[in-house]
Amino acid sequence: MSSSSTLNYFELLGLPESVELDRSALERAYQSLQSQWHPDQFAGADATTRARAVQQTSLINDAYRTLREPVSRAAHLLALRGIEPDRLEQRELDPAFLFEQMEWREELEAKRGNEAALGQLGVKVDERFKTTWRVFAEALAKEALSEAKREFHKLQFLGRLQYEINEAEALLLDD
Amino acid sequence: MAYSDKVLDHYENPRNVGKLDDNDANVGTGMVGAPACGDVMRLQIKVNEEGIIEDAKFKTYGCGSAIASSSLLTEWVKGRSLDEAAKIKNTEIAEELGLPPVKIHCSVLAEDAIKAAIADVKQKRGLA
Repeated sequence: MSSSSTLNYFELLGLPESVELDRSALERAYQSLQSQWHPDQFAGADATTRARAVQQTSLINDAYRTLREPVSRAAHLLALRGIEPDRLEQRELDPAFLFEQMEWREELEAKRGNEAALGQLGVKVDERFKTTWRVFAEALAKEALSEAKREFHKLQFLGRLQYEINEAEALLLDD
Repeated sequence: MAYSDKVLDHYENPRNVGKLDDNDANVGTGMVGAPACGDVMRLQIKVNEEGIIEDAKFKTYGCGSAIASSSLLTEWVKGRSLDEAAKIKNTEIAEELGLPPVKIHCSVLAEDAIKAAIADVKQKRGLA
Protein backbone atom coordinates (compact mmCIF):
# COMPACT_ATOMS: atom_id res chain seq x y z
CA MET A 1 0.00 0.00 0.00
CA SER A 2 1.42 3.39 -0.87
CA SER A 3 1.28 6.35 1.47
CA SER A 4 -1.39 8.01 -0.63
CA SER A 5 -3.79 5.06 -0.33
CA THR A 6 -3.30 4.38 3.38
CA LEU A 7 -6.28 5.68 5.30
CA ASN A 8 -5.00 8.06 7.95
CA TYR A 9 -6.46 6.85 11.24
CA PHE A 10 -5.41 10.03 13.03
CA GLU A 11 -7.43 12.11 10.56
CA LEU A 12 -10.34 9.70 10.78
CA LEU A 13 -10.48 10.22 14.55
CA GLY A 14 -9.72 13.95 14.32
CA LEU A 15 -6.49 13.61 16.29
CA PRO A 16 -3.09 15.17 15.63
CA GLU A 17 -0.74 12.76 13.87
CA SER A 18 1.95 12.01 16.42
CA VAL A 19 4.06 9.26 17.96
CA GLU A 20 2.82 10.05 21.45
CA LEU A 21 -0.90 10.04 21.87
CA ASP A 22 -3.12 11.59 24.49
CA ARG A 23 -4.94 8.51 25.66
CA SER A 24 -7.97 10.38 27.01
CA ALA A 25 -8.30 12.39 23.78
CA LEU A 26 -8.29 9.08 21.90
CA GLU A 27 -11.02 7.67 24.15
CA ARG A 28 -13.15 10.81 23.76
CA ALA A 29 -12.80 10.86 19.98
CA TYR A 30 -13.64 7.18 19.78
CA GLN A 31 -16.74 7.42 21.98
CA SER A 32 -18.03 10.47 20.17
CA LEU A 33 -17.59 9.00 16.67
CA GLN A 34 -18.99 5.66 17.75
CA SER A 35 -22.23 7.25 18.89
CA GLN A 36 -22.33 9.51 15.83
CA TRP A 37 -22.11 6.51 13.47
CA HIS A 38 -23.94 3.97 15.56
CA PRO A 39 -26.26 1.90 13.32
CA ASP A 40 -29.19 2.71 15.64
CA GLN A 41 -28.95 6.33 14.47
CA PHE A 42 -29.61 5.16 10.92
CA ALA A 43 -32.37 2.64 11.58
CA GLY A 44 -34.81 4.58 9.39
CA ALA A 45 -32.29 5.47 6.67
CA ASP A 46 -31.96 3.87 3.24
CA ALA A 47 -29.81 0.79 2.69
CA THR A 48 -26.84 2.70 1.25
CA THR A 49 -26.67 5.05 4.23
CA ARG A 50 -27.04 2.15 6.67
CA ALA A 51 -24.24 0.26 4.93
CA ARG A 52 -22.05 3.33 5.08
CA ALA A 53 -22.68 3.69 8.80
CA VAL A 54 -21.70 0.07 9.38
CA GLN A 55 -18.55 0.52 7.32
CA GLN A 56 -17.67 3.74 9.13
CA THR A 57 -18.16 2.09 12.52
CA SER A 58 -15.83 -0.71 11.52
CA LEU A 59 -13.15 1.76 10.34
CA ILE A 60 -13.44 3.71 13.59
CA ASN A 61 -12.95 0.49 15.55
CA ASP A 62 -9.87 -0.40 13.49
CA ALA A 63 -8.47 3.10 13.92
CA TYR A 64 -9.05 3.04 17.68
CA ARG A 65 -7.44 -0.36 18.17
CA THR A 66 -4.48 0.52 15.94
CA LEU A 67 -3.72 3.85 17.60
CA ARG A 68 -4.30 2.63 21.16
CA GLU A 69 -1.37 0.17 21.17
CA PRO A 70 2.07 1.75 20.76
CA VAL A 71 3.47 -0.95 18.44
CA SER A 72 0.53 -0.91 16.01
CA ARG A 73 0.48 2.91 16.16
CA ALA A 74 4.16 2.88 15.19
CA ALA A 75 3.37 0.52 12.30
CA HIS A 76 0.63 2.89 11.12
CA LEU A 77 2.96 5.90 11.28
CA LEU A 78 5.40 3.99 9.07
CA ALA A 79 2.63 2.91 6.68
CA LEU A 80 1.58 6.56 6.30
CA ARG A 81 5.12 7.23 5.10
CA GLY A 82 4.93 4.46 2.52
CA ILE A 83 6.90 1.93 4.58
CA GLU A 84 5.58 -1.61 4.83
CA PRO A 85 7.13 -2.84 8.06
CA ASP A 86 6.19 -6.47 7.50
CA ARG A 87 8.20 -6.62 4.30
CA LEU A 88 11.72 -7.13 5.46
CA GLU A 89 14.91 -8.99 4.75
CA GLN A 90 17.04 -10.47 7.48
CA ARG A 91 19.85 -8.02 6.84
CA GLU A 92 17.54 -5.22 7.99
CA LEU A 93 17.57 -6.68 11.49
CA ASP A 94 20.28 -5.73 13.95
CA PRO A 95 22.33 -8.93 14.63
CA ALA A 96 23.41 -7.81 18.11
CA PHE A 97 19.79 -7.19 18.99
CA LEU A 98 18.82 -10.68 17.81
CA PHE A 99 21.56 -12.24 19.96
CA GLU A 100 20.27 -10.32 22.93
CA GLN A 101 16.69 -11.40 22.21
CA MET A 102 17.87 -15.00 22.19
CA GLU A 103 19.56 -14.47 25.57
CA TRP A 104 16.48 -12.85 27.05
CA ARG A 105 14.28 -15.67 25.78
CA GLU A 106 16.67 -18.14 27.43
CA GLU A 107 16.49 -16.06 30.59
CA LEU A 108 12.69 -16.18 30.49
CA GLU A 109 12.77 -19.96 30.13
CA ALA A 110 15.16 -20.29 33.06
CA LYS A 111 13.14 -17.96 35.29
CA ARG A 112 9.70 -19.37 34.61
CA GLY A 113 8.26 -20.15 38.01
CA ASN A 114 10.28 -17.52 39.85
CA GLU A 115 8.06 -14.50 40.36
CA ALA A 116 10.77 -12.11 41.58
CA ALA A 117 13.15 -13.01 38.76
CA LEU A 118 10.37 -12.67 36.19
CA GLY A 119 9.59 -9.24 37.61
CA GLN A 120 13.21 -8.15 37.21
CA LEU A 121 13.31 -9.38 33.63
CA GLY A 122 10.04 -7.53 33.00
CA VAL A 123 11.52 -4.27 34.29
CA LYS A 124 14.59 -4.70 32.07
CA VAL A 125 12.45 -5.35 28.99
CA ASP A 126 10.11 -2.42 29.79
CA GLU A 127 13.11 -0.09 30.13
CA ARG A 128 14.48 -1.25 26.80
CA PHE A 129 11.08 -0.74 25.21
CA LYS A 130 11.01 2.85 26.45
CA THR A 131 14.50 3.72 25.22
CA THR A 132 13.82 2.02 21.87
CA TRP A 133 10.56 3.95 21.60
CA ARG A 134 12.45 7.23 22.06
CA VAL A 135 14.95 6.30 19.34
CA PHE A 136 12.05 5.35 17.05
CA ALA A 137 10.33 8.69 17.73
CA GLU A 138 13.52 10.66 17.03
CA ALA A 139 14.16 8.76 13.80
CA LEU A 140 10.61 9.38 12.65
CA ALA A 141 10.83 13.08 13.55
CA LYS A 142 13.80 13.51 11.23
CA GLU A 143 12.21 11.23 8.61
CA ALA A 144 15.09 8.73 8.91
CA LEU A 145 12.76 5.99 7.75
CA SER A 146 15.07 2.99 7.49
CA GLU A 147 16.32 3.69 11.01
CA ALA A 148 12.73 4.09 12.19
CA LYS A 149 11.82 0.79 10.57
CA ARG A 150 14.75 -0.97 12.27
CA GLU A 151 13.73 0.40 15.67
CA PHE A 152 10.13 -0.56 14.97
CA HIS A 153 11.19 -4.19 14.50
CA LYS A 154 12.91 -4.05 17.88
CA LEU A 155 9.69 -2.72 19.40
CA GLN A 156 7.83 -5.68 17.91
CA PHE A 157 10.24 -8.17 19.48
CA LEU A 158 10.19 -6.35 22.81
CA GLY A 159 6.40 -6.10 22.80
CA ARG A 160 6.18 -9.83 22.17
CA LEU A 161 8.63 -10.50 25.00
CA GLN A 162 6.59 -8.29 27.35
CA TYR A 163 3.54 -10.34 26.42
CA GLU A 164 5.34 -13.63 27.14
CA ILE A 165 6.58 -12.36 30.50
CA ASN A 166 3.06 -11.25 31.43
CA GLU A 167 1.73 -14.66 30.45
CA ALA A 168 4.36 -16.39 32.60
CA GLU A 169 3.46 -14.13 35.53
CA ALA A 170 -0.26 -14.78 35.05
CA LEU A 171 0.40 -18.54 35.13
CA LEU A 172 2.12 -18.16 38.50
CA LEU A 173 -0.83 -16.23 39.91
CA ASP A 174 -3.22 -18.96 38.76
CA ASP A 175 -1.40 -21.64 40.79
CA MET B 1 -4.98 -24.16 14.19
CA ALA B 2 -4.26 -27.84 13.79
CA TYR B 3 -0.65 -28.84 13.31
CA SER B 4 0.28 -31.76 11.07
CA ASP B 5 1.62 -34.94 12.68
CA LYS B 6 5.10 -34.16 11.37
CA VAL B 7 5.09 -30.69 12.91
CA LEU B 8 3.85 -32.13 16.21
CA ASP B 9 6.55 -34.80 16.12
CA HIS B 10 9.33 -32.21 15.68
CA TYR B 11 7.70 -29.90 18.21
CA GLU B 12 7.44 -32.58 20.88
CA ASN B 13 10.75 -34.27 20.03
CA PRO B 14 12.92 -31.57 18.48
CA ARG B 15 16.10 -32.94 16.94
CA ASN B 16 19.49 -31.37 17.49
CA VAL B 17 18.55 -28.70 19.98
CA GLY B 18 21.62 -27.04 21.40
CA LYS B 19 24.59 -24.87 20.80
CA LEU B 20 27.93 -25.19 19.03
CA ASP B 21 31.00 -23.15 19.93
CA ASP B 22 30.79 -20.01 17.82
CA ASN B 23 34.51 -19.36 18.40
CA ASP B 24 35.33 -22.52 16.43
CA ALA B 25 36.44 -21.54 12.92
CA ASN B 26 34.55 -24.55 11.56
CA VAL B 27 31.26 -23.46 13.09
CA GLY B 28 28.85 -21.17 11.25
CA THR B 29 26.04 -19.42 13.09
CA GLY B 30 22.88 -18.09 11.53
CA MET B 31 20.74 -15.88 13.72
CA VAL B 32 17.43 -14.75 12.26
CA GLY B 33 14.15 -13.38 13.50
CA ALA B 34 10.56 -12.66 12.54
CA PRO B 35 9.58 -9.41 14.28
CA ALA B 36 5.87 -9.73 13.57
CA CYS B 37 5.60 -12.91 15.65
CA GLY B 38 8.66 -12.30 17.85
CA ASP B 39 10.34 -15.52 16.72
CA VAL B 40 14.09 -15.86 17.07
CA MET B 41 16.03 -18.74 15.54
CA ARG B 42 19.67 -19.74 15.91
CA LEU B 43 20.96 -22.39 13.52
CA GLN B 44 24.54 -23.59 13.66
CA ILE B 45 26.56 -25.94 11.49
CA LYS B 46 29.95 -27.56 11.98
CA VAL B 47 31.85 -28.22 8.78
CA ASN B 48 34.75 -30.66 8.33
CA GLU B 49 37.87 -30.27 6.18
CA GLU B 50 36.05 -31.63 3.11
CA GLY B 51 33.37 -28.97 3.43
CA ILE B 52 30.76 -31.46 4.64
CA ILE B 53 28.37 -30.47 7.41
CA GLU B 54 29.03 -33.00 10.14
CA ASP B 55 26.91 -31.49 12.89
CA ALA B 56 24.01 -29.06 13.18
CA LYS B 57 22.24 -27.54 16.17
CA PHE B 58 19.40 -25.12 16.60
CA LYS B 59 17.48 -23.17 19.16
CA THR B 60 14.19 -21.54 18.23
CA TYR B 61 11.81 -19.46 20.28
CA GLY B 62 8.62 -19.36 18.34
CA CYS B 63 5.58 -21.30 17.24
CA GLY B 64 5.45 -25.04 16.54
CA SER B 65 5.96 -24.52 12.81
CA ALA B 66 9.11 -22.44 13.35
CA ILE B 67 10.53 -25.06 15.73
CA ALA B 68 9.65 -27.92 13.38
CA SER B 69 11.12 -26.11 10.34
CA SER B 70 14.47 -25.57 12.05
CA SER B 71 14.49 -29.05 13.61
CA LEU B 72 13.85 -30.70 10.24
CA LEU B 73 16.46 -28.55 8.55
CA THR B 74 19.21 -29.60 11.01
CA GLU B 75 18.39 -33.24 10.14
CA TRP B 76 18.53 -32.54 6.43
CA VAL B 77 21.81 -30.60 6.30
CA LYS B 78 23.90 -33.17 8.17
CA GLY B 79 26.14 -35.03 5.72
CA ARG B 80 25.58 -32.48 2.96
CA SER B 81 28.16 -30.14 1.48
CA LEU B 82 27.75 -26.39 2.03
CA ASP B 83 26.67 -25.96 -1.59
CA GLU B 84 24.08 -28.71 -1.32
CA ALA B 85 22.75 -27.29 1.94
CA ALA B 86 22.50 -23.83 0.39
CA LYS B 87 20.17 -25.25 -2.27
CA ILE B 88 17.51 -26.36 0.21
CA LYS B 89 14.37 -24.37 -0.45
CA ASN B 90 11.78 -23.32 2.06
CA THR B 91 9.12 -24.90 -0.16
CA GLU B 92 10.68 -28.34 0.44
CA ILE B 93 10.49 -27.79 4.20
CA ALA B 94 6.91 -26.51 3.99
CA GLU B 95 5.89 -29.47 1.85
CA GLU B 96 7.56 -32.07 4.08
CA LEU B 97 5.88 -30.62 7.18
CA GLY B 98 2.56 -29.87 5.48
CA LEU B 99 2.63 -26.25 6.59
CA PRO B 100 -0.51 -24.22 5.87
CA PRO B 101 -0.12 -20.96 3.87
CA VAL B 102 -0.15 -18.77 7.01
CA LYS B 103 2.88 -20.69 8.33
CA ILE B 104 5.01 -20.67 5.18
CA HIS B 105 7.00 -17.75 6.61
CA CYS B 106 8.33 -20.11 9.30
CA SER B 107 10.00 -22.25 6.64
CA VAL B 108 11.35 -19.08 4.99
CA LEU B 109 12.92 -18.18 8.33
CA ALA B 110 14.64 -21.59 8.49
CA GLU B 111 15.97 -21.16 4.95
CA ASP B 112 17.27 -17.69 5.87
CA ALA B 113 18.94 -19.22 8.96
CA ILE B 114 20.86 -21.93 7.10
CA LYS B 115 21.94 -19.43 4.43
CA ALA B 116 23.22 -17.10 7.17
CA ALA B 117 25.06 -19.98 8.89
CA ILE B 118 26.70 -21.02 5.61
CA ALA B 119 27.72 -17.41 4.85
CA ASP B 120 29.18 -17.13 8.36
CA VAL B 121 31.37 -20.23 8.14
CA LYS B 122 32.49 -19.30 4.61
CA GLN B 123 33.50 -15.89 5.86
CA LYS B 124 35.40 -17.44 8.77
CA ARG B 125 37.26 -19.67 6.33
CA GLY B 126 37.99 -16.80 3.98
CA LEU B 127 35.84 -18.28 1.22
CA ALA B 128 33.30 -15.49 0.99
